Amino acid sequence: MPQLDTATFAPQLVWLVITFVALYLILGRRLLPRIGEILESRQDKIAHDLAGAESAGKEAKDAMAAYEAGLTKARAEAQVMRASALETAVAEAAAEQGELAARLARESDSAEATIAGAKARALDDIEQAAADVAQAAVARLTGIEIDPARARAAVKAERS
Amino acid sequence: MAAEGHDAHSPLAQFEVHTLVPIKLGSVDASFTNAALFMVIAVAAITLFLSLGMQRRALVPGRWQSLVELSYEFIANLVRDNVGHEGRRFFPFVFALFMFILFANLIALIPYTFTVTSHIIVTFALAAVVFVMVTLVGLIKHGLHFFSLFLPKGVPIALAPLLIPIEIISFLARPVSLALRLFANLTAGHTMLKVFGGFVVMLGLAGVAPLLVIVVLYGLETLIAFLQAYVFTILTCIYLNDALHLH
Repeated sequence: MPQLDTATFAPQLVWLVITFVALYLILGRRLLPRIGEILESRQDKIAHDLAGAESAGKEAKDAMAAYEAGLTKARAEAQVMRASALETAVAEAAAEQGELAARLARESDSAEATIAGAKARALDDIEQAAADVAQAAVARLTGIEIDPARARAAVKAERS
Repeated sequence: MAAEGHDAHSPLAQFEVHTLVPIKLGSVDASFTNAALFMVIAVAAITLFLSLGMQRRALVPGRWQSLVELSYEFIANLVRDNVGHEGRRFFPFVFALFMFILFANLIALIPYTFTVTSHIIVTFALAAVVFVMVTLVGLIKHGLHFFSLFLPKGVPIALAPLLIPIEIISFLARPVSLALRLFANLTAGHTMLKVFGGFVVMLGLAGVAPLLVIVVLYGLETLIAFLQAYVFTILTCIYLNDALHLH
């Protein structure tokens, strides 16, 4: 087995030490710090970007909250405005209605009074006519002249 | 240096170490071998993979950069989950360990390459580094209290004579098992691939059958390349955690 040939041990050990120490120095002094630096800078960049994204998200959230608040306020204002408008309209309508009702009542009262007067006059006329007819009829039949007032009273008594 | 003189068709011939450039440091043989060449290739590949992938430093990563970041975060998470916050100091070491083993394993899957991690001396050296580091970290952090690792909390004192030797043995066995696991997996896998490769050549047309086996084995070996690198790394993390936080 060539591996057990002790004559090869010394040169292999010498060159193993040379190459491994060289590798260790190259890696430790140059290459690994460089790789670590790149990885670290990437980590920093990612952390920085994440922080930026987080603050942007927070800003967006704040804007959203402000918008919501404005919307709620506007909604409440609209509610108040609507309620007051409704109230005024209702009050106005009630006042108008009351006025109209009063006018109607007044008009109907006066109309009723006119009707009652007309009715009374008509009844009076009818009574007068009936008394006249009665008086004329009595005069024609019996030849007695009746006092118009008596005739009138008789008609009245008859009617009631 | 192929002292045992395997012929080129032996399944073990792929593990032979050849000297490419003979170098002598005093009495120490520091020759540049094919093993050394593939260690250099692995380190170069890791460096290129990481630096080219990170060249654009894009905020939104492309495919290659994602791969680089994935490997970084994979090991970073492994260290964080298993060792905790104190593990950060060991991250470069753990990352280097993982990448070295992974790339050595993966490059070895290319035909005609050399499998660095199939040599027990290499895996043992890596395991020894982990073992020594873990022990030192434990001693520095906890002083002599570190040895309470050998007596788990809440154990009746009567059991101590039995438990302490067991714990000491298991502690000392760590580097051995760490080294052997990686070495054995890689050696066995590559030997098997070579054996079945030999069958394909030998059987001619009927070689389709072993070829299919090779396809499946190759997939398995790719999995093992990742898995063994992961196992080595996560065990290192667990040992580090033991040393830092005791039981």
